[in-house]
Formats: sequence, structure tokens, C-alpha cells
Amino acid sequence: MCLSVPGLPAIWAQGLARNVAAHEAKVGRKVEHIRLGPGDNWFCCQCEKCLAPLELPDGSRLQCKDPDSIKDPLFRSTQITMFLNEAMKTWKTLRPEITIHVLAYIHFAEPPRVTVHPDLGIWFAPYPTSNLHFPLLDPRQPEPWRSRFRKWLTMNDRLGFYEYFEAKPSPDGFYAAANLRAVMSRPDHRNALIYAEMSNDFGHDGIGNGEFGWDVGLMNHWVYTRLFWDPRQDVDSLYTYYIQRTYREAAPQMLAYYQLIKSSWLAPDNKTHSSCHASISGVYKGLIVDRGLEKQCMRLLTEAEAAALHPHSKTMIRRMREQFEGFSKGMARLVVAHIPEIRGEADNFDSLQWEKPAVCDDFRLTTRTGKTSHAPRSTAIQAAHDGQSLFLRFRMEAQKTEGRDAMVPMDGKERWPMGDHVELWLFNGGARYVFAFNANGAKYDARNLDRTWDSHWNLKVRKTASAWEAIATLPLSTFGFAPGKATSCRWFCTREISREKGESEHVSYQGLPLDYRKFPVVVE
Amino acid sequence: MKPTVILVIALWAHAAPAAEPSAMDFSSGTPADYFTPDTAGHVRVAPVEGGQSMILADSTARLRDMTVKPATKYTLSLTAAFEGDVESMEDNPRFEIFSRPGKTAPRLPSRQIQFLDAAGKPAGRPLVYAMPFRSRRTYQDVFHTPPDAAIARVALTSGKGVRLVLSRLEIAETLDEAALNANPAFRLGPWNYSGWRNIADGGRLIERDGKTVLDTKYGSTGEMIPLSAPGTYALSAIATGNGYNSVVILRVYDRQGKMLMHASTRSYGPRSYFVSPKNAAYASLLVYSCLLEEVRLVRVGDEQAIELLRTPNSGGRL
Repeated sequence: MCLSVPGLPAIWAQGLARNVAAHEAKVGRKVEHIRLGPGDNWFCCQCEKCLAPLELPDGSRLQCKDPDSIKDPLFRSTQITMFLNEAMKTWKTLRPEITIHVLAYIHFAEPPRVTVHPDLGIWFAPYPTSNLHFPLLDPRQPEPWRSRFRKWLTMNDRLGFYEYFEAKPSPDGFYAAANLRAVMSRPDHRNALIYAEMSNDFGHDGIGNGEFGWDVGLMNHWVYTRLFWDPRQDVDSLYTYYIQRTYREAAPQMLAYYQLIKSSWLAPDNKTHSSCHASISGVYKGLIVDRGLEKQCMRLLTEAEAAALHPHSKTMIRRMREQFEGFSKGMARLVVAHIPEIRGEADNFDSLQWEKPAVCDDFRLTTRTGKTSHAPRSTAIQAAHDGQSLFLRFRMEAQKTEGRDAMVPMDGKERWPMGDHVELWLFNGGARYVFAFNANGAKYDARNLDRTWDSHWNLKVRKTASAWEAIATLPLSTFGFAPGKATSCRWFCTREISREKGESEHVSYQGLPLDYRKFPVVVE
Repeated sequence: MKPTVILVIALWAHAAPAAEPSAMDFSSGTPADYFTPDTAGHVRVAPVEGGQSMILADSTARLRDMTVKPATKYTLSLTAAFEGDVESMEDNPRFEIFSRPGKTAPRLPSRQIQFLDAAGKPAGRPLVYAMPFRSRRTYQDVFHTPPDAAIARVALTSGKGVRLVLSRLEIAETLDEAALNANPAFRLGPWNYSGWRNIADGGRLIERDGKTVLDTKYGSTGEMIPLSAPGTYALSAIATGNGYNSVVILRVYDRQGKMLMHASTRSYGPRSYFVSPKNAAYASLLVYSCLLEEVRLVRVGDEQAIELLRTPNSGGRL
């Protein structure tokens, strides 16, 4: 909208009143309040008049430092506030009973240089770079959100929030309580409002996309609603009450689980970022995985499920555990299990030691579009080390009629195994490593597709009635791996399956194309 | 004394007059007719398939400089093959990565196009491509010369352990593609990234329903497109959204590279119009989450032309 059009505030207010009246006539009830806000963009009018200095009520002038509202949000928020203040004169004559709430969002999140009309409500939307992990006034809250909120607190008695309380496993009630208590510091906060996106219903967009939002975030939702009655309540007590009433006989285990996540989330050194656009699995990673709590957390949820008597309690705990397992699987970590006793028998396909490492088996048909679909044949990888060597085991389900085009190894020649084969990619220090092989034992390794690089790996393969298998062995130090040492190395795996009639199908981890995503490697 | 001699030769090489762009079939059989005096010695002549070819082994040779017009769209066509105990696209399909801009390998031949201004200083950024096919093939690069370019300098590198066989090379102004951007409908096939500077992780050219399509994944960027004059421009794309935040963005810059504005479209098919700022000099594409069949930037008229689009009888088109 070009805000500098002469007389526009009154014209706009009259138009709004007409629209409201039409809406009321259509739905058959009165409108109680209106929410105004910018669209999901930073676009503002760039005309000469809209970029001219603003003459402020105190006689000073505000220059536009940059037409781009990202670079000069103060100019734009002040311009919009002056427009709305002027429009309110007309609006109050037309529909004084309807409160207008302004979404302080995008460039308008910046507190303006002018006073806001006292009848305008402000919903502060700390978007998109705020951190929902820390209260808005917490020193760890990134700027400009801390300063902006502090400033807004001095400006408006109808101050509230537009928030993104999507379902997350983190105990977010502490964040909500702290912010609500800050608003209560206003002399008159009776008209404060909070609006939050909580897209957790099945089939709806948003973080939580569907029913699993309820499975991991319901505890928070209940606590928010209690806090809205009185933000001064003890957050810890609210969570405890919810857990006792919801999980009943399993409350001891669920309280232990709650203590686990609370201690993690509120630990001063936990810097996990949580925001509107943060992934739920990313929060799970920062809350549980990165703190080394995954096994303990899963044990507590398993014990809680066993202890629960009421079917609803049992179901809710089970679904929470399953969602966490899903997050864990989605992270697609290739965990290199530390198994000292595997030494000497790692290349034995039938060794019981191979029952110990976790299995990565989320292979799907590779696609570049839309949803992935199940692979026609299963593929699985396991990884282990004994402190000296790295062992990688692959199991490729196959029928005897398949894979006939797999290349036969040529003595002394390293060739890419055209046809039916597997590729394991490792990405480390800016280099791309590939280990490609097939059921005939043809093998190829390369660094940045330079096959003169040699990892000195050994490959053992065997064919069974329903699969072909491979065990690769190479020095643990090849990629700087060491027992328990964190690594930035990442992995990906693809497989070409040659079917009976000669056509090939391509499967890959999570069904993704090469280079699109690279998954973490964890060396235990 | 020795350094002086080298200096004199280097100066002489720089002083060699640049030739008009032309086709070279290497028929004279004399490398010095095509290559700079300091690199012609790296080139041997051999008969290949009834004609003369230039052979380059384990070395780099530079073609004689060619004069070019500034801010003009050209096509470099180079017919070549290679030999050697190294891998190629034919041996390893993952060598597809070496068809992408800037992706070269020590054991693959490559070509570089560098631009110089009238004073002999580098202009713009050089274009570098590998030549990953072992068999004889014509590589084509469609590109814009920078606004201050006067000379194009082409260097050919064989790669280690490689004999590069050159059959033909031509630089010519590109025939009208009905777009300012290069290769707007990907008609040059699935191995040709002309017009694109960086392909996002996981993105690549693919074949779909018999057409070459760019799967941009999240944030592939185009080369700089010179904007010859202020005016009304149209941006259009034929694409299918393929993931989060599917959008085609055109960023407009001044001569110093400062971004002045951007236009975008999420509506694939219709044209989206904008008026370029007075000091606009370049534009470049940035595309998120698209299966892109076609993208076109077209200048449709002067700065007033956009007003005609707003009139009822224009039908929204010029």
C-alpha cells in the first residue's frame, strides 16, 4: 500500500468499516476485534513520497536510511504507526467498539519512534530469528528481539504476543511464563492478548505437521493454557500436576523423564536454537541427543509404558516414545559401535558380534519429487570398530534373477562397478569419498572421484538365497576417526538394483538424491 | 639476462593483436596459427578422421586472443575427445558432476574462458568447465561477455595423463534465444549448465518427459545477465514447484554489484513485469525448489511500457 496517498488513512478506515459490516452480515454475528499485519514479506512502497523524511509529532524528522525495510525497519514501523494513528481518528467515529490489534511482525516488529494510539493493541511477533529457548528478556535471547521487547513493554497497555507454540519435546512453558510475567509489569495489562500458531491437528501444516504434534507437545499446551489464567503460577508444579494426572501409575517414570528434559533445556550451556522454523527433530537433537540423554530417555519412556495401567496413559507414552524413535531414525546417524571383541571376526558374516551395531535400513526408491516410496528390496548398513579398524557391513536383499549385469572384477584394474552395485559416500573436510562395490566383489574407491586415491580397504562379499552381503574393512584412522571422538564426517548411500528384465531401480537412504542430504557419523 | 628475455617474450605475447571471433578447424596444421606463441609448442598435429586435429598432452595451451563485444551473448563450440588411462563420463556416470560449472578434475581436460578489457586487465570472472566425455563431442558454452570486455582468451588444459584431441573451435554471437538469459529452455541438453553459476546441493539437470529440466533444489543461482538499458522487463518461468518455498527470483544489481531490487514469481506461466532502476547493470536468477523447464528474462520496452500493460486493452501483454 502506498501510505503517502493524501487522505488515505480515513479512506482506509472507511473501507475497513465497510468490509467489517459486510463480514458481519455474511456470518450473522458481530466482529469483536480485528487483526492487522503485514503479509509474509518485507515489501514496502518505494515511491518518492513514501521514502521522504517523516515529520514526527515532536517536531523532529526521521530520515529513511534505506528503502529496504530489512535494513531500516524503524522508518517503516514509524511510517505505519503514524498512518494507523491517523486512521484511528476515523475508525473511532465508525466502530469504536471494535479493537484493532496490530501484528508487530516483520519490519513492524521494530518499536516505532512515535507513540502508538492507546486503543491499538500490539501483538509482538518475535519472528523469524528469535530463540524460543530463552525468554525474550533473557541475556541469551539474540538481538534485536530483547531490545525490541523491552521497548514495546514501555509503549502499550494492550501488549501481547503473536507466537509459534508448535509442539516440541522441550519444556517451553518456562519461556511462555517469563514473557507473560514481563507483560504483567505494565500498569494495566488487562487487555493483553496472546495468539499462537499451534498447527498440531492432523493433516494441517506447521511444525508438528499432523497428529504427532500432540504426542510430543501436549504437555506444553496444557501448561500454556494454565499460565494464561495466571502466569505467576509455578511452572514446575504445573508440569508435575499434568504428569501425575495424565500418566497416573507411570508418573514416577514420566516425572524422571521430565526432570531429564528440564535439566537439559534449562542448563546454561544448552544453546539449542528453537524457533518458528526450527525443526522438531532439531530440538529433539539439542534437548536429548547432543546431551547424551537418548538411551536414558528411551529407557524411562519404555519403563513408563510398562508401568502405565490406564490405556490412555499407555497410549500417550507409547506414541511419545515412537515419535522420539522416529526423530532418531530421521537423523540417520551411522553409529560406529565400539565393539573390541569384534576384532578377528568382523569379516565373518555369521559372527554374533554383528547383532550389536545399530542398523540403518531406511532405504527407499530414489526420487526427486514428492513423497518417497518403499524400495522393492531392503538394504541395510551397520558400522563397528575395534579401536583400530572400521568395519562396514551391508546386506542387500535380492532375488537370484537379479543383478546379473553386475560387473566382474578385473585383475589389477579399478573400474566403476557398472550395473547392479552399492555406493557408500563419505563427506569429510570438503572432500567426497566413494566406496562402490557389487556382489561379484568388484570394488572402486575414490577421493573426489579420483580413483588413484586408495583407502587400502578390503571387501568380502557373499551371496545367500535371499540377499548379497558385503563387509568392508579399512583403517579406523582413514577419516580421522578415533574412539569416542566427535567427527564432522557425514555419509550417504545409494544402490542400483538390476531387475530380471534388465531395467534398473535406484534406491537411496531416505529416497533422496546424492548430495541433497548428508547424514551424521557417530564414532562410539 | 635470462629474466629479461622471458619478459620480452611475455610482452610480445601480450602485444599480439587479437583476432575477430571465428571458427577454427585447425586445417592449416600449424599450431602457431591458432595458439599463442608461448603455448603453441605444447600442441602437436595429427590426422584424425580425415582432418587435422590438434593434440594436447599433459599441458595447457592458449588460443590466440579474440576480440569480443562487451555485454554480448556468445557461444563457444568446441569439438574434442580424449585418450588416456583415466576415467570419463562413459566409464563412470558419477562424472556427471564434471559437467557442472567450475567442477574440474586433475585428470580431466578442461576449458577456460577469460575476459580482458581494452587495457588487458581481467574483466568479470572466468568460466571454467571440464570436458568429461572420452568420445568426440561438441561442448557448447553460452555466456555473456562482461560490460567492459574487449578480449576473450580461451585456455585448454589436457589434464594429467590425458591426450586431448581438438577438432574444431568456434566463438560466435549467440542466435536469438528469445531471452536475455542463456539457454532459457535447457535446449542444450542434460550436460549443459550454460547460464548457471551454482547448482544447489542435490540439484542437477534431469530428463523428464523427453525434456531437459533443471531440478534446482534449494537455491540455484544463475550467471550475471547484462541489462543493456533501463526499461520494462518481463520475468517468466515454466516450472513445477518441488518442495518448500518454490520461487523464481531475479536480482538486479548496479555496476559495482550492489543489489538494487528483486523481482520474483511463484506463478509459473504468466509474465511478471518490473521496471529496472536507472543504474541497473546486471541481473541474476536465484531459484528455489523448482523443476524448471524454462525461465526467461525479456526486455519488453522502455520504462513507460509497463503503463501500457495496465490499460484494459493490452490484455496484460506487450
